[in-house]
Amino acid sequence: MINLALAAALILVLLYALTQRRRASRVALGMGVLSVIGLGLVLAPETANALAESVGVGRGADLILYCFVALVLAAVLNVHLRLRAEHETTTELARTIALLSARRPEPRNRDGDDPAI
Amino acid sequence: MKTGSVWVVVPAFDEASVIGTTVRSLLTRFDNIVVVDDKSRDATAEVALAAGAHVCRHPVNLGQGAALQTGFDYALQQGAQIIVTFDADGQHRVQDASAMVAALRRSAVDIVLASRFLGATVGMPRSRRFMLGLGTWYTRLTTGLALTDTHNGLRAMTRETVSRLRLRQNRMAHASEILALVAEFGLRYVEHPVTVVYTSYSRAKGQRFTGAFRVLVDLFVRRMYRS
Repeated sequence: MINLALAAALILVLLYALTQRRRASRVALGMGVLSVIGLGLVLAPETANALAESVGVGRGADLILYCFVALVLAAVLNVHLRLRAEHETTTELARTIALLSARRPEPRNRDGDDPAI
Repeated sequence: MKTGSVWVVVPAFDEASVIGTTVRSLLTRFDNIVVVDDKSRDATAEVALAAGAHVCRHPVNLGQGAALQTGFDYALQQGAQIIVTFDADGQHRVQDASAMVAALRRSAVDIVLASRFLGATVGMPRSRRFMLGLGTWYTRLTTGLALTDTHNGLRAMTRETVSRLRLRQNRMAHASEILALVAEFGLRYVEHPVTVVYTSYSRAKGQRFTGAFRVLVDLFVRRMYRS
């Protein structure tokens, strides 16, 4: 039963990737490839075991877990880099606004430029 | 002393209760003060303006390093020839700042750094001394600069020096960042003895141990990006 639900979810992901392929082609490609691989593994679970054995990992589930962890780490790094870039943009924007909206004090009572008061 | 081309940059965050006094005391020796209000939740900007400072206000809170850089940009725009950085919380003395400007003019250095360990401290907590010792050690290790006080917010710099600095450490790691740039550019520096007064206010606002840890993380991240 669960493989039907999983397959349906993966098909939705695949469709979403297809609709996004113009806006973010690389992300869409990655999502598409992953969902196709996922579909293959859901529909033919024994291939995961065979694949795992061929690369020296005990079970198919372990292999999938390792791949998942690696992908999540890559995604976290990607988000981190983006956040950093965003933060630099924010800083530049905030600085520009601060400089443009700087306020001057009322002129003080002084005799021109003569500092000897 | 003519101070027309000297600008004092004061980064401030939630300092409404002290910023007026700080600005007024600075105005006794300096003509041009710019307070950079880092999106305070209180009336810091209004109080500073009323006291006679120019005020730049960040629309979002970015951190002290970012506020300093904004102040540098503003002072450079206004034609500053010498730029002084000064803490808002009243722990620095104005006479020290003007003595440092005089020292900068006298000698052919690019930056004058304040040192409370060549000078004096009033009411410094032990934990603070320990943390500053670590900071000095870290600076010597990473930059080779043999300074006595590496985390003092009081500095005097020439226009050329400030133009070359581009602080990218928005939060509190900027003190180390400035020194790293001093070492990198081979700037000529001198330390100047000053007195730092720890009031209960400045102690409450000061950095904590966790703050130092965060500084280390910030510096580490920067190193990773530069390599």
